[in-house]
Amino acid sequence: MTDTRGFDIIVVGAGPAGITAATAAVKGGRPVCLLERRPHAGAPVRCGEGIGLKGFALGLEMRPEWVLTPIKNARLVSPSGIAVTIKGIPESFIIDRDKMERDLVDELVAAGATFAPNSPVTKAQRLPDGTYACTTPSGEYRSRCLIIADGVESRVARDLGWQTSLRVEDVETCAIARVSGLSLNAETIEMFLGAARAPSGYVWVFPRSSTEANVGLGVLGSRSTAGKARLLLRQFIATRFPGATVSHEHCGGVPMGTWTSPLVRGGAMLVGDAARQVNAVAGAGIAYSLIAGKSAGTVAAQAFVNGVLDESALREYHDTWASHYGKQQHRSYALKQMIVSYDDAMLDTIARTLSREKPGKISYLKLFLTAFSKHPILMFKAYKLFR
Amino acid sequence: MITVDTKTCDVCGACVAVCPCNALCIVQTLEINHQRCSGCLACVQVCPCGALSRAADAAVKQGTA
Repeated sequence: MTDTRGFDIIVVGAGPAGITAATAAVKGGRPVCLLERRPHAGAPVRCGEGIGLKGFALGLEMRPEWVLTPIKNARLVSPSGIAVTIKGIPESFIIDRDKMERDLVDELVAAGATFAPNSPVTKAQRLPDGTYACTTPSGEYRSRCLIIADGVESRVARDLGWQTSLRVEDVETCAIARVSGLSLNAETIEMFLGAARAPSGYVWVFPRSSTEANVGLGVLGSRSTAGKARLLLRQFIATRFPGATVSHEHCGGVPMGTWTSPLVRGGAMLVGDAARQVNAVAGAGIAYSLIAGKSAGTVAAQAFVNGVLDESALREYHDTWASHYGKQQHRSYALKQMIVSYDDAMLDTIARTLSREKPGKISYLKLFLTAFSKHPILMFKAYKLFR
Repeated sequence: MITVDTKTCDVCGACVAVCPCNALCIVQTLEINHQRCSGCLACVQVCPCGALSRAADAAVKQGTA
């Protein structure tokens, strides 16, 4: 119980951000340890598993064995049932995150990293000599550099001076399940809107094959009550897919704020959901996590090569994020604040207008332009955002 | 006092994310530090599974109050 083990770099959390950070760090040839609360990486995956290749590839090379199905179309259904189909979505996939994350952790271990499952960090502190100590039930782990990737809960960072708690209006409370025995178009994702189905959120149906889908929904925290997400999900599945087989039911939270600044304090860095690096409109976080993890891990490894491990050396990670994705996140957040103000009538009006368009002529741009034309004040606000 | 029904809880961390007092921590199950808790109920509101409740409400549910 009193074991103390030392490493150069410790990563807390084996999700997409933590795994990518550890992978980049181990390439620098330094002793790296990846701590994970669960007994293994991968499942349960609290996620729709949808990705756009463009963003994903910036953090990690895609492998065919991780792809479950390519996505070509998105079908949006308004509160009153008006469907709008967007065709020709650029390279997007539903991926098997369980397999991806297990593969990557196996490779990390093969490359010499230490993987410590069943290791929840109950306390993190910086010692007088500048090293970090992470307390787990099985012992203490120490390192000069700490990469924090403990997901939506983002608790470890709070021990080190960050304020990462989210306001209820900045979290989407979610439930998800795997539904099988279906007959689907495996290339079309569906999203259902409406206050009765998912208040200030949406229901998603992301096919894993032509017979199985990830079905999930999110409710904005400020519009949630205890257990609402799980209840609404069960209602949706029972109505939409009666008789289907439901498994892997899980709950989760998605940060819908904007990124935490600073991303670096002393020798500690914050990545992924723990850093609130999520697109606040869609709730998408995989690509951002991979990009941030790779950047943080690379900067950490380089700092050891240069022999200077302090905040100024690691700051490059923060600065890179701030100048590019950080700005993108601020825009998404402002857009989300507008969208959550839409009521069902407004969403129906937008859908009605778009449904008169020829299928195949609808793009995300057209969708936004229609939304703006129905609500001119948004055009002005959006202009201020993107100018 | 906030209580957790560990059979319903999916240890997803949504409650930990919104706790302004750092009173919640997932070890094997969700652990609540009642000294730190301010009773704001943000955790109860956002819990997707409905595993958290105020002790008084929980007692009513179980028919003991």
